[in-house]
Amino acid sequence: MRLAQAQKEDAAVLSAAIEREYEAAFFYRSVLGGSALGPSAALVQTIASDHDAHRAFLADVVSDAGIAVPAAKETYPLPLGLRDDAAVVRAAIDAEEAGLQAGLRDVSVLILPQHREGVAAIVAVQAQHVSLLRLTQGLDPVPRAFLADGLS
Amino acid sequence: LGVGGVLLAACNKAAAPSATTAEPSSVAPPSADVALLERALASEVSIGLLYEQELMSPTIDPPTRARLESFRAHHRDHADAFRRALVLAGRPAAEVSPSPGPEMSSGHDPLPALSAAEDQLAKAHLVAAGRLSTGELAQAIAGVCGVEARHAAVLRSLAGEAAIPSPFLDRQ
Repeated sequence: MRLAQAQKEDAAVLSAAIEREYEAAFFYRSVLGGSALGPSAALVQTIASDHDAHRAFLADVVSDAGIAVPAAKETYPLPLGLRDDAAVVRAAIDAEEAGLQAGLRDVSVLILPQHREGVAAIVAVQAQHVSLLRLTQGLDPVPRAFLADGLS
Repeated sequence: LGVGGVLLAACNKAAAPSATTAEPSSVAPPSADVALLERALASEVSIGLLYEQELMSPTIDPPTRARLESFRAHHRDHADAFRRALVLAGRPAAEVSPSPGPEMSSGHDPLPALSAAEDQLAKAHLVAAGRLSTGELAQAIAGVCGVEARHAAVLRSLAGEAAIPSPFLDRQ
């Protein structure tokens, strides 16, 4: 397969990853702008910043392939019941886990090695997010030996 | 299926002889994939030994000790998965002989050494994810890499360091 074709096919996969990053950013912006967060606010702020960096990286890759970067929607669905710090952390754990499992699937279909490695570097940090979020709740931060088995 | 199964299936496929192979060889050289898996196995064995050594430290409190034992068990699972993959690929791993670790004083803090080793291992698996020839293998090792990265973050947190120093693993 020619390089240009591989870049285009990978860009389609990475565009979907950008959409997921928009959704994550919307969630974190919403909870950081609300009043539910308490002791986990600093961690959630760090995670939100990480997602901004992931989105920018993915957008650069897609753009470099000559593909238009998808635009963010104005709004995305939010989990229900975000009434306190623990509820936000639980929702964040679910969001991070869903994102990283999707990222792992992306690693299996991406064609170019640098794209696989780039997405794997993001997946690993999302896995770290889950561990630190679980620590705030007194949960085992790494209950399983393989990401593919789930994180919780 | 789990990563062991994925590694097994993918490695078996990767090691199958090519239809264009002209002459069978009695001792086939290891494929690039097999070489990467052998290196990953050796690294998992090495870090398991480092945990064994650090767990002898008398300064570890019981909750931290339980955490470290759990992480050590994960590395055994990873090593087993890589070993099974190599067996199925027809390249059973020879017993690896990792180099001995540095001498430790009895009062030293084991967390920095372990978090550094986890970080190094995660980055090695990350590089392998980019180099392995199939998507299945890349996905499987990325799933192991993520767990090492989790270990490193938790250990840094326990040591009072910034748990996630960069948004990308390769820049941590």
